[in-house]
Amino acid sequence: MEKKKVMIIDDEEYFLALVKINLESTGKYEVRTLQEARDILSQVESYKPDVILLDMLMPKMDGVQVCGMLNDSPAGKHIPIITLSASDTTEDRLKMDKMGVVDFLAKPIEKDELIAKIEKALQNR
Amino acid sequence: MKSSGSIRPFFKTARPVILFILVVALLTLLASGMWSCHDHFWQMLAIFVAVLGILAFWNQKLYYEIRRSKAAEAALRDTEIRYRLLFEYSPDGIVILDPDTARPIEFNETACRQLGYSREEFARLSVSDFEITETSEETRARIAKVIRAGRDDFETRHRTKQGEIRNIHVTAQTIEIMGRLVYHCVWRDITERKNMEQSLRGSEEKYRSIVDNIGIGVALISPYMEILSINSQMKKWNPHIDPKHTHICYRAFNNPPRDSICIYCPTVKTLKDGLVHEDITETPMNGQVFNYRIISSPVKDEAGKVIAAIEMVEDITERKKAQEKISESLKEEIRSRQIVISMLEDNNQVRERLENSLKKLQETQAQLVNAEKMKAVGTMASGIAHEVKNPLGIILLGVNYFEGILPPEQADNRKMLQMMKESVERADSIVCALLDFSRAPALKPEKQEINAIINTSLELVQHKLKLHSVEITCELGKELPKLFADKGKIEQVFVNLLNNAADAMPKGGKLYVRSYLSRLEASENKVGNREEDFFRPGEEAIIVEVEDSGTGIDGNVIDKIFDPFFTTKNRTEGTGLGLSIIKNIIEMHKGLISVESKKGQGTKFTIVFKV
Repeated sequence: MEKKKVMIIDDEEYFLALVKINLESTGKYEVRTLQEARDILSQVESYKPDVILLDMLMPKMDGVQVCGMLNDSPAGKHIPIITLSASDTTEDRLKMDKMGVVDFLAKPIEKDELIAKIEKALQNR
Repeated sequence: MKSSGSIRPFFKTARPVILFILVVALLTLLASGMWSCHDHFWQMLAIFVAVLGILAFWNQKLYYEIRRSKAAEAALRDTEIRYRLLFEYSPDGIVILDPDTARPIEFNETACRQLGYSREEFARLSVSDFEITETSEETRARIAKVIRAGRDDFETRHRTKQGEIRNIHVTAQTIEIMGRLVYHCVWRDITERKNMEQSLRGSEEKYRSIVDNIGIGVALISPYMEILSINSQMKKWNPHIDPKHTHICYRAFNNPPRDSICIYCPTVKTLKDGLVHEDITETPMNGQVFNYRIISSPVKDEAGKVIAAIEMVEDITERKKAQEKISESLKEEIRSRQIVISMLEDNNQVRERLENSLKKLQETQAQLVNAEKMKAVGTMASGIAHEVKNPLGIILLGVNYFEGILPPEQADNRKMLQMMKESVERADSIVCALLDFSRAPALKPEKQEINAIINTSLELVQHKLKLHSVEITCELGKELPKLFADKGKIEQVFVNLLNNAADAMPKGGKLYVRSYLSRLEASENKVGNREEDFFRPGEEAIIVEVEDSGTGIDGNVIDKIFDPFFTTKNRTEGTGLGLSIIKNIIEMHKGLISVESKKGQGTKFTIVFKV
């Protein structure tokens, strides 16, 4: 079975590492991690992920800006995005909905919940 | 005198004897004549007796002459002594000068003493040696003048032997002594008098200067109300008064002039009884009325008769106006205070209102401080949330990873991972509660039925209540008005309260949930503290009570239960933020929440909602 490609963008290095090891340990996913979203478009074009996990609160470019860039790009606009955030308010969720995000995960995230959300996003693609 | 006194009686007694001898001698002569002088003896005897009688008579006359002469001589000597004494002991210096040389011919002790010389020294002086006012020529001219006129009085100055200058009044005249005209002077030393006069003149000038410059008017008024004298201030106020002319005070001091004595005049009283009197005038002057304060003092002669009155006059027009103004202000102030006092006395509610206002201000201040604290906590909480949740996420994913790779038979390791996972969840729940507490979420209020919210909340905690064997009694009022509230938030309130009630009754108990409509009274439910903001006595409100028969809250901590992070539960059971969040939510709905509790008997939370 072809592994699904997951791209995750977060400024926390350890978090990236643990998401990667947890997902890849299932044998179903291939994960590419990005610690900053500066060259997100070229990375998406080259990697062609099936789903993107995007942290909302990053120092240089936040999740809203990255969503905007992806939505505006031909390579990124069809890729489902799941946002990750330490802040879990109604306002945050409404904001993500408007940006066309398919799902929302509040940190700390459980592995099972993460996989469930990824699978759901892949199914709806 | 004594010897003449003893002779006189002798002659008095001898006189008849002498007269008898003379008569006998005469008769003898006549007899010898009749007897034709035949007997010479008798004739000779008669002649002898007659001569003897004549001699005796002559002797007596001589005696009287001598005696008279001696008496005159004694009287003269007596007079001379008397005049010498008068001359020598005169308090004034008496000098008789030679008009040609102006040197003393005769002088008394006083004249020497006045100039500090001995008699011998003085006798050698001439007038020019001590006279300092006149030159020698002037002195000679004056002597010549006195000789012509017979007398002169003048003042001059003499220098004493010690160099001291004395003022001398001289009475000079010419007298004739032994056919010669001499210059007779009486020198009276008037130095002390002159000094005193000068001193008095200085004092007078000083006092006149004071009287003229004291800023108050001074006038001397006669018993006929005539102005005898005025000082410069009075002159300034009454420039038309000429001191050379006679003015009547009540005419001169008023404009238009008055025809009779002023009714308030204190001077009239002073002139009458000799006492000090005082009054305030109303003086018309050029169309205005001035107020002067007059103090009248008597001036008396030696016999004590009042001969004049001194008026001291002070212009108090401006001061009186100011005083009247102040008096009016004070009256107004007194009136205001009386009103306040009467209000305070009549109605203690004023004081209560003031106390309530103060209490309200203190509460508002406390709320503001609290709000500032909450704002700071909110800012901090959102920062903490991000910084804590990320590592929590990493730990959780780490735990998840190990759960995946740990063989099922390593039960102890799995249990340890489970404990780690629960700790992460607890830490996360604290961070979430902190965020929830600090955040002021925008309410989405809609018309809600409170009983429906209560029922939903009860359903949510029903399971826990059953586990704790809690007996629920619901007394929900019928047809309660709908509330304008955020359903989710109010549900959160009730769920939290019901959960707390269940926790307070771990071994079972009774839970009462009541809702009813009530008319508020300020004295109840502590509503009065904020009635002006949210509630007013007499208003209708929906009351919800959640009462349990649990462990109750200790009286020492009941005031702190709404404080953030205060909890009586085990640290693993509660964050200490639940009741703080409840209070925030209720206050966002402009409601009140209060608590009553007795240790060991139970707790009752009362929520008041504005209808």
